[in-house]
Amino acid sequence: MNKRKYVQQRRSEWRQFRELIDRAESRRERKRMSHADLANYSRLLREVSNDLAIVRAREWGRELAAYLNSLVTRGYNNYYTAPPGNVRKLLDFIVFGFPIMMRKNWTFMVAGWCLFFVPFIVSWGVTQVDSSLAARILPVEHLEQMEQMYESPLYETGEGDADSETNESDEIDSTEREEEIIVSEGYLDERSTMAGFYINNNVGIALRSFAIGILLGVGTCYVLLYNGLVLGASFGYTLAVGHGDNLLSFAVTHGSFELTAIAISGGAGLMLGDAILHRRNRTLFESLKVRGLDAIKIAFGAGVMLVVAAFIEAFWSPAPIDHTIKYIVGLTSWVFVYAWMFLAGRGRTSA
Amino acid sequence: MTSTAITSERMPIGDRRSREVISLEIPVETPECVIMTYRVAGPASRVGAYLLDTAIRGGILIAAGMLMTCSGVLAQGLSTGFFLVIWFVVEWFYFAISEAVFNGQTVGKRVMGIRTIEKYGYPLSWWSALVRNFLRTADCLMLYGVGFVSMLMTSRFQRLGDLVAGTVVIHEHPVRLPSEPVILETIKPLNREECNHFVPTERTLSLIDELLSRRTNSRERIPHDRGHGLARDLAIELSRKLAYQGDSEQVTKYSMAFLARVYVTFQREEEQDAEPSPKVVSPFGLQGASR
Repeated sequence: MNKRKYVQQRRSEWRQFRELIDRAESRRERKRMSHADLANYSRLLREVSNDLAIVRAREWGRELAAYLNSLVTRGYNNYYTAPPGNVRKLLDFIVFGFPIMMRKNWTFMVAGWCLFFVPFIVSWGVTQVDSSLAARILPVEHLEQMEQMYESPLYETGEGDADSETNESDEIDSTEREEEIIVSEGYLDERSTMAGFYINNNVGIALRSFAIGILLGVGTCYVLLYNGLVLGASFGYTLAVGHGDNLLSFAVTHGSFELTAIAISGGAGLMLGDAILHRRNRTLFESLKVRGLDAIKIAFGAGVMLVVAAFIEAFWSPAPIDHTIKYIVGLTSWVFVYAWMFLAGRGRTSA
Repeated sequence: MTSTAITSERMPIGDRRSREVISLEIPVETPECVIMTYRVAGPASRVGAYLLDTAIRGGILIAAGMLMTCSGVLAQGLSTGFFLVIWFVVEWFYFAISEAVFNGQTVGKRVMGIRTIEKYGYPLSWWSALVRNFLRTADCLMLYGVGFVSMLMTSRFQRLGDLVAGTVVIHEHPVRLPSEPVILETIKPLNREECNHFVPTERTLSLIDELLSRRTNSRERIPHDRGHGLARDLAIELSRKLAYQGDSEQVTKYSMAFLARVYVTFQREEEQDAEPSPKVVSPFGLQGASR
């Protein structure tokens, strides 16, 4: 058998395989492929692979080998397709897989948490005792702005009806707050803008602090420490000048998701840095690949938490509701978040 | 099942003599026990794809902005909120979603003919698409300086996102089946009395075949004199091995024609039961051959 005869003989099969690949590559055509087509595809993939091996072994020319190689690579890529993503799996991951994954890597989560919350609490405490220290951390204009913002409750801006959007938080009875509902007509409007802003801003910050973790974790540490200090100082200062009630009642609910998620995404960033530093008998690339997948899953979960936080922050937190209720709901949500992180999916074997 | 261990023995393609070939081809062994190769895409085409995608992302944002300005007359805040959400999605998920949905290709990548795949040749999975595009943030520091340095330091042009996700970006060039081996009916085989019993290897014959088919292949057509020039060394060597006693001018001057005769001689020899071919093509300078 020489090359010429071989090509003559196999040519029609190659053409047939090529047509099948073309069909498999277009989404619409793929669905219309019959069982016979699929069986054919699998047979031809093996045959053409064999052809490629023969052509290479007998050194029948690069062009021919390149042609067959392109057929095989395309065929292979379609044949061994990635499992399709599906919504139920995604939900399952967020509710159970994510906390399991966090507990599996708890050291990093604790480290991220400490890097964020320790400076947060310290700078809060310090600035509350001596509010003049806040000016050392934050620019004075920023402090003045904070002071103005929380001078009065956030919602006494006008009259209107806010039932439509406050309904979504079903934790409390809506009759209780009927007399308090005094909101401007553009309430929903304004809130939506803020929701968009929070999502864009906060999730962006968290994902960034995760991604720069790959630079040995230094960038992540910086972001966490910086944000912890600044936030703590803002809180401490506002409390010291006496507007604490307005700020805390506003921040307590969404803070449970938001602050925790920032710490978590930072922890995920630290995992990336650690994957480079401590490879545990793996090559650098394998180490990144294996541990990076866990890290990205955690960062993704943190992103989802932040989106939830953004909606709470935009629609619930500034709602005109009695502060006592807000505190209760807020504390409940803190308890909920941490209970979820510690307990969800216990007893399951894998994420 | 999938391994790249073969590199240490010998590259499956390229020159056999050089053991460690510096090459853009990455080998992957498939479950069918054949080694296929992918061609890695370099920074240039990837930058091109990125610029295109950036232009498209800008376009989407501008279009969304205009739409929101119009609908803003009715509900200003809502439209602004939507716009910000769209912005967020375009910034963080444009690449990830399009690569996950379109099997490793964004619009820009499609235009540039490149595709992201898993390192072992599998199609890109959702998580991988997410990882490599979230880490874009780290790669794009200093105008993609970080990613560029990382690409130069890895043999497969992987940026940090690729390393973590375990992906590579490959070239997909359309390849056509090489035109059918030219049927050289009019060409006289060598007179066996004029040469000895040496038989050229199959490799030599297929090399001749490739050279001849490039004469007819419109894409990389070689001009006459250039073709003879390219063929001369091989023709002289073959005539020496065959102890060819025929027209020596044909060997040196119309080398391609001589090679064609060699090809025909030994190809026909193997084809006792060859069916008569209907078509006759003789695209070479065959003055010498048809005598």
